[in-house]
Amino acid sequence: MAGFSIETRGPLAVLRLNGGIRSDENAAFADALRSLLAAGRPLAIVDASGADYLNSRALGDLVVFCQEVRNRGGEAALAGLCPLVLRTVRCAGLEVLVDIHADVAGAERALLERGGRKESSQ
Amino acid sequence: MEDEQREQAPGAGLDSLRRENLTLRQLVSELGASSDKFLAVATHDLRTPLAGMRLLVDMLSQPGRVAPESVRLLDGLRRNLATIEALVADVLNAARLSQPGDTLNLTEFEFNALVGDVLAGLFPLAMKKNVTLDAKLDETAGVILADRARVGQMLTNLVGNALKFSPPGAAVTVSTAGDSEFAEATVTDTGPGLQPGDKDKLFKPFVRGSAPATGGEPSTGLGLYITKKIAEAHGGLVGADGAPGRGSTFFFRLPRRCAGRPRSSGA
Repeated sequence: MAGFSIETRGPLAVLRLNGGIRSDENAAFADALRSLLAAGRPLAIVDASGADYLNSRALGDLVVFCQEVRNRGGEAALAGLCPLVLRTVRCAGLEVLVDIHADVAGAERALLERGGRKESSQ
Repeated sequence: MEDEQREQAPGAGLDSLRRENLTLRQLVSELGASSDKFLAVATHDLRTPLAGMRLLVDMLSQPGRVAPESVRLLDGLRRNLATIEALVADVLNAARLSQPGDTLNLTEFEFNALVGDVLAGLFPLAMKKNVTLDAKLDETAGVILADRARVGQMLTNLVGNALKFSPPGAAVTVSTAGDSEFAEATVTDTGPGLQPGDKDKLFKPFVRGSAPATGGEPSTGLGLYITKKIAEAHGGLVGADGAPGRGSTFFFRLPRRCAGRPRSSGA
């Protein structure tokens, strides 16, 4: 059974998955994404390095989550996808909808850089 | 009288049997060759005009080519074209699998890796239909020696079917398992289930189950037949279970070292 934890530091909030997301975990995962949104940070990362699988509903929820963060003026990214999930995301053409990084550090650097560019352009 | 005749010409009887055997072998070989030629011709002569028709439909569909009210007609034409293309592909596939000379391209591969690849390709359809696609891939599925493309085709048929007949909000789960002799894949859905009369005829050609496709997708009635033929070519088996309103379960089991006839190394 998957567990979730949310860490916040500065402008960033990170949701960590401690297991795969299958049918039994979909509702709890949707709740965790809502909690991440409610944290109100402009930058959000979902760390999937602990997840061996994300089912189609979980991927759909992630796409909607990333879009919602952007609608609120923020940036979101996925990090640490396992090879199977990464292949699935690419096959489904979801790379154009979600930012993907190898790990949380890389995602954080990219989001902070993008956030910095946004502020300087305003 | 008959015993005397047998005693007098046992060698003649055997010779006659050998000649008949040789004649039958030659006939099978000729039939196989003509069947190969038929398939080659059919593949080309059916698919070429279909490809041409598709190109014309795509060109006519470009903005400004036809009146707006005709766009709907073109959509209908495109859907029917897709149905014919799927039927031609399935019929040729089934014919090819039924040939006595059909061979398998045997390689060793990780069973779960193939399942993952197939699922990755079907996620867009699952998301489009709002059906949850889950995987429970057990390590015991291990490595098998089989025709990777054909096994992939079996998985695509079973998972595709489950998605086709599942309503929005339903779930399809693909599980794998294995032991020292077999690897097995099971596809379970929470769709309409199987009617009592369906189970006996599901794997026969041109037979469709009682339930309609939830997205209006076309069905050639050959997918499960092809799946069965591929499994049998490997020395494996397929099966199905399910009750009305309680979802369905389809599975196939393959021997770890396929028993089918491999393609020759010189091919």
